[in-house]
Amino acid sequence: MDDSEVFRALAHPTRRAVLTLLADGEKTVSQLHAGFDISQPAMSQHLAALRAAGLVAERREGRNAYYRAEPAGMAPLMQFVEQYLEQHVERYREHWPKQLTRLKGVLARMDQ
Amino acid sequence: MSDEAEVTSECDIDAPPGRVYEALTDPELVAEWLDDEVPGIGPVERTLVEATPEKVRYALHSDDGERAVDSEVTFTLTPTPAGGTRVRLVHDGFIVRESDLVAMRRAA
Repeated sequence: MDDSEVFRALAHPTRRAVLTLLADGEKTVSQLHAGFDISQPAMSQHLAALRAAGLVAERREGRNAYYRAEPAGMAPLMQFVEQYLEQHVERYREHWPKQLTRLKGVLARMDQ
Repeated sequence: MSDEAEVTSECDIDAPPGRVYEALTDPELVAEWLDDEVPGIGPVERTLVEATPEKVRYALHSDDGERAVDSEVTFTLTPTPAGGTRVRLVHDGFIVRESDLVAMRRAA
């Protein structure tokens, strides 16, 4: 699975709301559907997108399909955020040592 | 990454404290090495607030209309036995952005 699936799946507000609901525990399509002003097939499509992204898992029992959250599916998002923040912190960390190196350079030139 | 609200850096310079003091305070020399921008803060306005042979302190003010950051950078000068200068730099008060980053990393 491609990381973009996770970002694409999370781009939709309904799908993010579904994830929030599932954080409470397993639910059926109709339970999930009850909270939204969309058709049941539309809800099924959202769930399929979340499943394809690895953000929810499905369990079948008789005629019902139960959906549950798969928090581990957020890994690509976490990795992106971690790396992004690290770049910023790194740039700041390097700033002052670099400044002192330049100060040194100015003093070396003053002596000449 | 720690929660400390200051960042320090140190180096030994092969020039006597008087020369280093000059390079830290003479606006023309300062412009040669001290950046007008600090990563994570943005463009800063510099004001010299303390200048003694041992200590030079600048207030760094940044305001982009959405966020104002006030911090300070202090240079402490100590003579070394070899006739040079040990420069210790402390950037203080820069907690806004740093603590945001730390909080986000914790949450992750």
